[in-house]
Amino acid sequence: MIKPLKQSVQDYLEPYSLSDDQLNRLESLSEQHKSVKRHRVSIYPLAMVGAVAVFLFVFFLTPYLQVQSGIQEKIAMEVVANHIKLKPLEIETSSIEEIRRYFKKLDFVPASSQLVSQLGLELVGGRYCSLQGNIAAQLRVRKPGTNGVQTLYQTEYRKNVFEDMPTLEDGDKPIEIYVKGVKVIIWVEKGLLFALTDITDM
Amino acid sequence: MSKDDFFDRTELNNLYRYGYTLCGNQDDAYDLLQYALEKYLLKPAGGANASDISYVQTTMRNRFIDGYRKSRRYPEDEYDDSLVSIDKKTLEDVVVEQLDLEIVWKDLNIMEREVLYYWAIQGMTAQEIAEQLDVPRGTVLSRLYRIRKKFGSTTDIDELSGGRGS
Repeated sequence: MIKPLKQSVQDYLEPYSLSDDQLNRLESLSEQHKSVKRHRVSIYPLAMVGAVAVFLFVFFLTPYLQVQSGIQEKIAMEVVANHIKLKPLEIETSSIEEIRRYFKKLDFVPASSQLVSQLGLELVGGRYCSLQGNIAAQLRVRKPGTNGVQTLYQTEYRKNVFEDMPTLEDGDKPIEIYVKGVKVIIWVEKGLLFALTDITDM
Repeated sequence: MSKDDFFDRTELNNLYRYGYTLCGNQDDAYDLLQYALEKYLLKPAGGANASDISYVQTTMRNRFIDGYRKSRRYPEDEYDDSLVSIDKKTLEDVVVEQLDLEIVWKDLNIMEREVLYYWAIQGMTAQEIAEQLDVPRGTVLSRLYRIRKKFGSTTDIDELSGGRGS
C-alpha cells in the first residue's frame, strides 16, 4: 500500500512503544524525584545562608581575630617565658630615675605606670631585653615586704607591630591573657606598651 | 510542562521512539530515555531554555553521540552548500510502500533517521529541526535531500507519485 512518506514513518515507528512495566518504572522516577526535591527545597536556603556566613567569617573576621589574638598571645608567651627564666638583673634599684639613667640605649624613656602604682608594686631592678623584636626594658617589680617578683616589660608602642591595644588614658580596660598558668596584663600608657605578669600569684 | 506534571504516556512513547530512531535497538532506547529523564528531573528549575521534551531529546542525543563517538560509529556529517536552496517541502510529496520504508530505514544513517523522526513524528520544519539539532538549516536540507534520493533509488517515486516527487 502506497502512503505519503510521513504517514509511513509514523506507521513504522508506532509499534515501538514502552511496555506497561517500563512506563510504570519511568513514571516512578518522577515520584522518587519529588521526595528528594522536598528535602532539597527545605535544606537549600539554609545551606546557602550557612555558606555565605562561613565565607564572611573566613575571609573577613578570622584574619582580624587571628591578628588580634595572635599578637596578644605572642607578647604574653614571650613575657611569661622570660619571667620563668628570671635572668639576672643588670641593675638593681627601686628608683625609676636610676632606671632611666641606666637604660640609655633604648629608643624610648622608661616611665612609671599609674596601673603599677595602683597595684602597690615597687621596682626591684631591670635588664635589657626585647619584645617581639623591639628593644625593651625588662623590669622586676614586687609588692613591698614580699619575696615574689613579677616581670614588667616596657617598650615603645608601635601600632604597626602591636596592632590595637587598650590605652589606659582612653579608659580602656587592660587585656588579661593566661599563658602557661601565668596571667599577663597588657596595656598602653604614656605611649609605651606595658606587659605585667599577674600579682595575684605572688 | 512542570516537573510535577511529568510527561504523559504518549510523550514518553514518542521519546522512546526517538531513542529507537537513534539506537535502532529497543533496549538501548529505553536505557537512553531513562538516563535522560533522570538528568531532566535532577536539573535545577529553569536551568534549560528549551522546552522539557526538547531538553530530554537533546540529552538523549548527546548521550548517544558520546557513546558512539567512543566506538567510532557515529557518522561524519556531510554538508553541501549547493543544497541550501532545496525546497523545504522536499519530502512532503514523497510516497512510499510501507515495505520499502522498512528497507530504506535500515539504509539511512543515524542523522538521516533523526531528521526523518522530527519531520514525521513531531511535524517540525527544516528550520525547527535545525534549531533543535543546533546545526545550520542548510545541513538539515542536505539531509532531507539525501533521504529523498535514497527513497528515489528503491522506489520509482516519480512513477508512483505521477511526477510530483521530482
